Amino acid sequence: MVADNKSRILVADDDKDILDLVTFVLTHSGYEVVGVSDGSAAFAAIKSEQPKLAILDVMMPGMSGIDVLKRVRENEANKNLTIILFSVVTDESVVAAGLAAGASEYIKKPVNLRELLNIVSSFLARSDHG
Amino acid sequence: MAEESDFKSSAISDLSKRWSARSISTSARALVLMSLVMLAVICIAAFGSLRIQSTEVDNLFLTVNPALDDNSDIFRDMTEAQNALLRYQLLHDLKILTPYREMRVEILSHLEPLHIQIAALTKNHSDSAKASIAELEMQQSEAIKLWMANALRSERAVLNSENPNFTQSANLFEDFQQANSRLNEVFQLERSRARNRSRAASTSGTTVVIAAAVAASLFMLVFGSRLARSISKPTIALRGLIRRHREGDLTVRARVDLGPAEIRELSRDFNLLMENEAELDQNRSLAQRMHELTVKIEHSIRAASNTQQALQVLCTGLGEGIGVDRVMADAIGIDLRVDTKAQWYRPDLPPLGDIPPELIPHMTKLAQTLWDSSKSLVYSDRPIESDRSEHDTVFYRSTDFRASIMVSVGLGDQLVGMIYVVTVDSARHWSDSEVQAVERVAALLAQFIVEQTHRDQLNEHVEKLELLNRQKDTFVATVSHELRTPLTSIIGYLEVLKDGYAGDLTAEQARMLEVMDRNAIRLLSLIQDLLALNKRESEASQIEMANVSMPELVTTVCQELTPLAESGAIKVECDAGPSRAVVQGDRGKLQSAVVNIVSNAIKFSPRGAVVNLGCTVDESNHRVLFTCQDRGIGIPAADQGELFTRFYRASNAMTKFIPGTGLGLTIVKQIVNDHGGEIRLTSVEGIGTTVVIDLPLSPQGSV
Repeated sequence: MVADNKSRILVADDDKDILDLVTFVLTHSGYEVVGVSDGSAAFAAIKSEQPKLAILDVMMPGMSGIDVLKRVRENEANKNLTIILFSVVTDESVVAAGLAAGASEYIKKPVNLRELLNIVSSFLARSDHG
Repeated sequence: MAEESDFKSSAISDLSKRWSARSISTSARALVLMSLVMLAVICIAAFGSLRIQSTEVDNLFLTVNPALDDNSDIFRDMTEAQNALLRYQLLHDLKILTPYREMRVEILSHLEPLHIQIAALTKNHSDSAKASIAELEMQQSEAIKLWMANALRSERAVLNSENPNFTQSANLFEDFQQANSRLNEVFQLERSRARNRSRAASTSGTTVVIAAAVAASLFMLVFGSRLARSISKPTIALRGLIRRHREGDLTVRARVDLGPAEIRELSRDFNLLMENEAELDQNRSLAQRMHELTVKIEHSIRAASNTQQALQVLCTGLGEGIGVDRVMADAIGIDLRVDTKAQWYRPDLPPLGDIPPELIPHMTKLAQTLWDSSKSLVYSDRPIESDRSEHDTVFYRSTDFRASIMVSVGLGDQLVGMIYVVTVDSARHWSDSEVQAVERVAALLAQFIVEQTHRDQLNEHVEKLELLNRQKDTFVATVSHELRTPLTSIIGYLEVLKDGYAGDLTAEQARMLEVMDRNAIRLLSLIQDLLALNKRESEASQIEMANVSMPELVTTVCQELTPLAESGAIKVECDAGPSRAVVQGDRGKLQSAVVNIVSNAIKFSPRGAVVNLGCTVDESNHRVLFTCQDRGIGIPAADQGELFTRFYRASNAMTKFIPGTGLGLTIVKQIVNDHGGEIRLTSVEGIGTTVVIDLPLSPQGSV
C-alpha cells in the first residue's frame, strides 16, 4: 500500500473509533488526513483545508454527510472535489439520494479496508489525470 | 204566524218522516189489516142485502101468498056456497044442501088462517095501516057472517016453503064480494111491495159489494206499490253504493234518512262497515308508509360513518317521517353514560337543552328496564300531575313533552341507547305501526352501534399493530445500524492486524484473529439478513414484473457462487436448461432466491461433493422447474415442516456450527410465493437434499 503522493483527504465521522481506523489506514498508506467528527466541522475543513477527497459519514450530529455534500456542491469551486459517502445506512433510497446529491461513491460500512483504499486511490488517480 | 206555520210544517214533515220511517213489517201488517177490514165490509154488505132479500121472500111466500090464497079460497067457497044456496032455493033439493054446508064449514075454516096471515103481514106495518087492513078483514068477516045468517034464514024459508029472498042474498054476497076484492087488492099491493123491496135490497147489496171491492183493490194497489217503492228505491241506491265501493271508492256513505226502518238500519250498518274499512285502509297505508320509512332510515343508518351521524339521520328520518315535534336519540355506553346524542325538532321549535343531570341516572335506568323487559313506553299524553312520580314531575317540567314513544336500543343483554319520539303541542294517539317503526329503527341503530363499536375496536387494534410494526421496523433498522457501527471498527481493526500494520503475527495469533474475523462476518450477515427480511416484508407487494430467462439466471448464479464452492472444494454442475424456460418476475429477487438455495446447498455439502443445478420446462402444466440437488447432511424429517419458518434452523445445522441465521428460506419462500410459484423440499438425513422451485411459465415465451 503505497501512497502515490501526499494528497490531502478529509475524513468526517462522529464515531471516534472509525475515524481513527480510517485515519490510521489512510495515513499508513501515505495520505495526509484531516479528521473531523461532525458535519459543520467537515464543511469548514473542506473550505479551509482544500482536500482532494472527502470521506463523509452520513449520520452525524448537526449536519449530515449529505447536507455537507449538498452545501459543498452549491459552490462551483468545489465541483471537482471527490466526495465519498461512508455509512451504516444501507437504504437504497438514501444511497440514491447521496449519489443524486453528487457523491462520487457510496460505501456501506463495514467495508473491507483494502477495497476502501482501492476506491480512494482510483479516484485520486483519476482526478490527477483529469 | 210564520213561526207557527214553520212549526206546523216541521211537525208535519216530522210526522211524515216518522211515517215514512216505519218498518216494513208494520207497513205489511197495516196492509193486511186494511185488507181484512175491506173484506169484512164487503161481507157485511153482501150478508145484509141477502138478509133483506130472504126476509122479503119469506114474507112473500109465508104471508102474502097464503093470505092471497086464503082470500081466493074464501071467495071461491063463498061463490060455490052462494050458487049452492041459489040452486037449493030454486030446486029445493036437499041433496044440494050437503055441499053447501060443507062449504060453510070450509069458509069458516079459512077465516082463522087468514087472520093469522094478516097479523103476520101487518106485523111491521104502521098502526093506521094495520087498522085499515083489520077494518077490511072485519068488513069481509061481517059480510060473511051476515050472508051466513041470511043463508040460514033462507034454508029455513025453503023448509017453510016461504018465498026465497034472492035479492037480499045477492046484496049480502055483493057486500062480501066487495070486501073480499078490496082485501085481495091490499094483498096484491103487499105482494108487489115485497117484490120491489127484495129487488132493491139485491141491487143496493151488489152496489155496496162492488164499491167496497173496488175501493179495497185501489187501496191495496196504492199502498202496496208505495211500500214496494219505499223498499226498492233505497235498496237500489245501496246496491249502487256497494258497486262503487267494489270499484275502490272508500268514501261512499248511504243515506240513513230514506226508506223504511229496516233499510235505514241496513244503511247505518253499511256506513259503519265502510268506516271500519276506511280505517283499516288508513291503517294499512300508514303501515306501508312506516315500512318505507324504516327502509329509508335503514339505508341512511348503513351509510352513516359514525354513531353521531347514525343518530342524526335516525332523528331526522323519524321526525320528518312520522310527523312529530321532537326526536331524540342517545347512545349509551357500557357504563350507562350517554356517549353520543342527537336530536331533531320542528323548525319553529328551539332545540331541547340538556336533561337535568340528576335525571340522567333515572333515564338510563328506565332505558335498562325497558330493554330488560323488551317493552316500549307509549303515552298518548303526559300523565296528569297527581299521577306523576317525583322524577316524572322533574322530567315533564324540564321538557315540554305531551305524547311520547320511548324505545330502548339494545342488542343481546346490552343496552346501547334510547330513542324518544314526542309531540309538544297536543296529545296524540300513536298507531301500532308507528310504534313498530320506531322499534324497528331502534333495532337497526343497535346493530349499527354495536358494529361501530366493533369497528372502532378493530381499527384501534389495527392502528396499534401498525404502530408496533412501524416501531419494529424502526427498531430493526436502528439496531442493525447501531450494530454495524461497532462492527465496522472491529472488522476494520481485525483487517489492520491481519495485514500486519501493527507488526508481524504468530501463527497462533493469526488463527485467533481468523476466528474473530469469521464470527464478526457472521454477525454482519445476521444483521444483513434481518434487514433484508424487514425490507421484504414492507415491500412484499412491490414486484417489478418482466420476462426473466431462467437459464441465464442459473448460469449467472453458478458463476457467482463458484468462488464459494471452490473454497469448500465443492463442484457445482450446472444444466442451464432450454431457452424457453422463461418466467414473469423480478429478476433481482428471483436471483437472490436461487442464490440463497444454492449457497445453502454448498454450505451444507461435505468437501469434494457435487451440487447439481438444473432447469426444466413442464409443458403440460405450463411450469418452469428449477432443481438444486446436494449430497449434504440432509434435513431431519422432523424439521422439514418448520423449515420455512423464520429463524428456524435444522437441529443438525445448529450442532455443526454451520453459519446461517435461519432467515434465508423464509425469504426464498416469500419471493417464490410472490411470483405465483411454490417451493418443495425433499431431504434424507445423511444423503442429501433436493429443492425444487416451481414457477409459472411466462405466456410470452422466450426473452
